[in-house]
Amino acid sequence: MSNKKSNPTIGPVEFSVVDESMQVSIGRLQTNANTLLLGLGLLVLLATPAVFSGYFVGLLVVAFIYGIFAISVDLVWGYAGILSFGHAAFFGLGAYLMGVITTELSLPSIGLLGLVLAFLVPAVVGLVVAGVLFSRGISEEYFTIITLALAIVASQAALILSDVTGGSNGLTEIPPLGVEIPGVMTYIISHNQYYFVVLVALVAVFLIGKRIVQSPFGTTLVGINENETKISSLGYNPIKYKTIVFGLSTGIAGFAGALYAAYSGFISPPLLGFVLSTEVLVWVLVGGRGTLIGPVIGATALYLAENMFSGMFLNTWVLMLGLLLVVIVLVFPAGIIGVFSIIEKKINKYLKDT
Amino acid sequence: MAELATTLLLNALSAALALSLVALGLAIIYGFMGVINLAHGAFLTVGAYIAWVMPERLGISFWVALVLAPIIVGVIGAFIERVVIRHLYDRLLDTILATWGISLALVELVKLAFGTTSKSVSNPLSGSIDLGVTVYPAYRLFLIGFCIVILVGVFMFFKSTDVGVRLRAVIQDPDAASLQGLNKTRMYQYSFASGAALAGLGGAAIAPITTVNPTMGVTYLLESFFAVILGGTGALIAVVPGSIIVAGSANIMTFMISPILAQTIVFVFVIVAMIVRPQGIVPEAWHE
Repeated sequence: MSNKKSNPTIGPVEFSVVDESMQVSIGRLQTNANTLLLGLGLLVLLATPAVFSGYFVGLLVVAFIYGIFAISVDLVWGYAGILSFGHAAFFGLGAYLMGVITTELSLPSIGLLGLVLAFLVPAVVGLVVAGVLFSRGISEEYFTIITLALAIVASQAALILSDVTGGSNGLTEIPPLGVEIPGVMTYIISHNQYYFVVLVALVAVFLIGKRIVQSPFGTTLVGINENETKISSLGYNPIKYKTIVFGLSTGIAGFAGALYAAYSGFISPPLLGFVLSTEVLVWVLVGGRGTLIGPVIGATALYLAENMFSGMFLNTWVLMLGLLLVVIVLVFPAGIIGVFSIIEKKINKYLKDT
Repeated sequence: MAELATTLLLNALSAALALSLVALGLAIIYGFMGVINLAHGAFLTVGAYIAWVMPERLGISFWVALVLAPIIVGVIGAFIERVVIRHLYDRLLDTILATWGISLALVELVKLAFGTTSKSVSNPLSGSIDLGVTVYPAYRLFLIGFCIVILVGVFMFFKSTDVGVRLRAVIQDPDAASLQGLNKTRMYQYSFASGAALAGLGGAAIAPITTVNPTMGVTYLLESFFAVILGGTGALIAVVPGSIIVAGSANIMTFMISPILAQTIVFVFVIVAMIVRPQGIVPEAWHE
């Protein structure tokens, strides 16, 4: 520490660069700048309902649910390189499970059971689909086409099985989430409180995702994506890894779907179809593949933009979405987080030089 | 009974041959370039709208539109290859996303230009022809013959013409072909444009016997993919048996069950077939 240069400071805050990442010290407290940024962002989000209108908070609830959905897609696409064009089938499966269970059965705290099942059932379906296809040596582009077909079959199945799903009318009056212990207490979560429930769920899914991708399991996945032959010659079974991450991802997608159903109270077949499946890919791509936080930012930013500017782009939103997809793929495949990391490198360089 | 069976078979045949035309375009683009073209359905939609807008709004005959549709869509394809696809040859999985983006944009442009309501193209051959066993619509008979002529023409082109042989040389070994002085970039552009043109032609050809709407392409996109995958990508001709199974069986089942259920059954069947026989249903001996 003897040759330590004096670092730039703003008031009591001191900036420095250690191992290519920016560190911030306030007095004796030292932390990574990215962690600090995330923490500050979270504080802002916690304070949001006190400041903004109910309409805006309502938009954020759905945006965060889509953020969870986007994380699930990023786990398979950003890390394992598996491109799924039908992830909405699993989101919708979770939503329909939640909807059917809570409207058909009137048991106390049924919504909580719904959340659990909405994770487990899509996870098992995902495991079976991926396990069968990968173990038969289906190539990655065929897998993508099959997932697209899956989304279409799922939304058609929702139309055909109208006894259970309500057909094209969908399911209405899905009760909000609540905790009930008969004779002791009944507590129904209000729309405003649901914001915090979803925020907690988002943070939890993000942290779990972070833990997974940083674990040996996650690094093996990235290795498989980069060079599958090499990883298998090292004694790993790529099929097993890809299947597990796909099942985990479809489970999380289903969980997000259940959160959506309990919030909106209404679900219909398009929820399973390829439009939502495409949208989630755009969110992940715009935010930045393989970053976990990028997809959350992408989902939130684009969902808010879609709803707040929908008056401006009433008929051209999907057109813009399509062109955006092309432009991002062509010009900026690393997304928003890619832009951030370039800025971060510039700042780090500046800090090192001073 | 014989009358009904013949009608059903001819319906299935015309659906299968029309799908073969569209799927062949997809197979050329995938087989030659490795590009999964999710804009294929949109190309078909544009072709169908050309067949609608020219007679209805511009007073141009349907038959002229049928010739112009593949040319216009082919030019659109060449442009898209030049501006987008060419930059993604080393990132093939990303072409899926880019072509999907193009597909969304094209379909939205169609919606903006002509609205979301379904259009119907008036039948250019409105009569029926007495075949002895059954009386069958003249346009559908024309469609069957037309598709066969185009399919045979395309296969002959690849088998025997100079450009066809060059194209196949580029597919089999792009680097060696490029050492021999064959321009890979140009061949790729031709492939994409001709694949798009076939989709446009298919769209225009089926326009009089279907409802034309902005989202009509999605079903054809999936059916084409399934026909290609089911047949196997080893040989272009495999799209024909693939299409016969995908479109033919759906068409016949529609007689007994709802179209949606029929389509779902076919999709599920194809996925199972892919799992059992990933290399496709045609024998290895057919592969080029």
